[in-house]
Amino acid sequence: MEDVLIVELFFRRDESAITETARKYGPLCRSIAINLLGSPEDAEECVNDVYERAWSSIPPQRPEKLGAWLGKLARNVSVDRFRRERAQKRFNGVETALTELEECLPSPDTPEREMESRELGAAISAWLRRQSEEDRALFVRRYFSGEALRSIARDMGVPENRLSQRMTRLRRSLRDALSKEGIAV
Amino acid sequence: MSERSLKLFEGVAHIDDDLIESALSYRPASRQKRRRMIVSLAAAAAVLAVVILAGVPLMSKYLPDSTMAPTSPAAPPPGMEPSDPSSVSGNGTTCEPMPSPEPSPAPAPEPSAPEPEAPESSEPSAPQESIPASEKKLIIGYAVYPHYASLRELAERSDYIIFGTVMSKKYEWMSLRIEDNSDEKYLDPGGDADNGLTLVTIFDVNVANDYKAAASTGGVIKVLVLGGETEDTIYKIDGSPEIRIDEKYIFFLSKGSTVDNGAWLLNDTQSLYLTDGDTISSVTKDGFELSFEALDKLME
Repeated sequence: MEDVLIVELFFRRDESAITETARKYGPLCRSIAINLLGSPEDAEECVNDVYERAWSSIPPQRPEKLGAWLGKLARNVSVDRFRRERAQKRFNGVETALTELEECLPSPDTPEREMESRELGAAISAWLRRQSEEDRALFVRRYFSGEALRSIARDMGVPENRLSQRMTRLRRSLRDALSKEGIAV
Repeated sequence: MSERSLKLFEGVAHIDDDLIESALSYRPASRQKRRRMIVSLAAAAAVLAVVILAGVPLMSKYLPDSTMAPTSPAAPPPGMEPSDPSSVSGNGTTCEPMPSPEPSPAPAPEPSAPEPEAPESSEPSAPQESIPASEKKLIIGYAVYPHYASLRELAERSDYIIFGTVMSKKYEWMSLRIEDNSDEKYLDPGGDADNGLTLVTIFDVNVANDYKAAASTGGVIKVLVLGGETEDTIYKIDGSPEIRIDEKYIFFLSKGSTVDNGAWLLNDTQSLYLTDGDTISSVTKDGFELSFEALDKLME
């Protein structure tokens, strides 16, 4: 089903929107979640969260690129879960004390931080547009989807070590580009 | 995760949508060239659709010797006639009949015959090397496999779990029909089912250790995987793992009655693990973390 029709189903509050979304983009969301979390069980829960969030976000939102929009949602949900689980594993005394002290610092989820992230995203996007189509795909699959280098290498039919060197060059190029933009990371 | 990494990680989340979309759908030029013909193997998708629709209990009732593995990919799904050149299976996958070998396959065997009369080209064959693999036509099929939530579940559903070395492989056109005398219209392909053959790769695996009932240690088991190569064509199930000669693997297998001492990979997404004898890594992206210690513990 075309994306625009799926979005229309969301707007009509038709529950088949979820079915169609799962059918078309379930594998994408699941692979991102598994890449980032490493656990199929956790990934499955994240994918369900993605559908829930999509249901509550559309409307009012009307994503133009539904696949990318859902991919971002899957990434965010997975990262949130990763952080939550990491926090829960901090049981030893030092970690607990440090975690308590962290509360004294301003929350990282400030509007300034969000704006900073968006600026960084725009700079990375501008840099990506200057790369070859293949390098763009490499970067997005590795750092957006969290796909393992081995898996990408296998899919692209190149040796893993060669791909690794290429990724190093790409990261260096990104660092130079961000420096020129005056963006300090 | 350092603060710098975190900032970059968050920044990547704001990459423009069009870049993400095009990157995720990107295929290397070499693969695009090879994907001139995208054809679904009615075979795998069809039976697996039936499997999914019917559910395990029903399947086990009618297929006592088979499992969720694609034991009969030649059977059409409900509503899909074998002669229908392009139907949509139950899982939404566009299906076309499994291409037949050249020359045409032999007539359908009588239901009582244990094995179909094999056409000349269905004889076991060595890998075809007359045309370089990169220049062969690539036909990709799609299959939906059951997903196992845990390593324990995967192990429980496996008939065999073995650690072995791949010695050789061959390709064979096989009739994967399941003979059954029940009156079930769709699950009994013994009546008017199509007589198509399916290309299968058969790997001879020298068993170093069997964790779950299989060929005895030192014996050879045949591992069957859908797809294979002919002189000019490669038939592949999308996402199926690559199994290499001389490599050592842990296999989670499902017994099949098609070939003596043969077994199918339980699924294409979680059932194959590469090992050097010390460490184990999943060959497929949905595989589990596995170690020999975990395997021993699992089998206790």
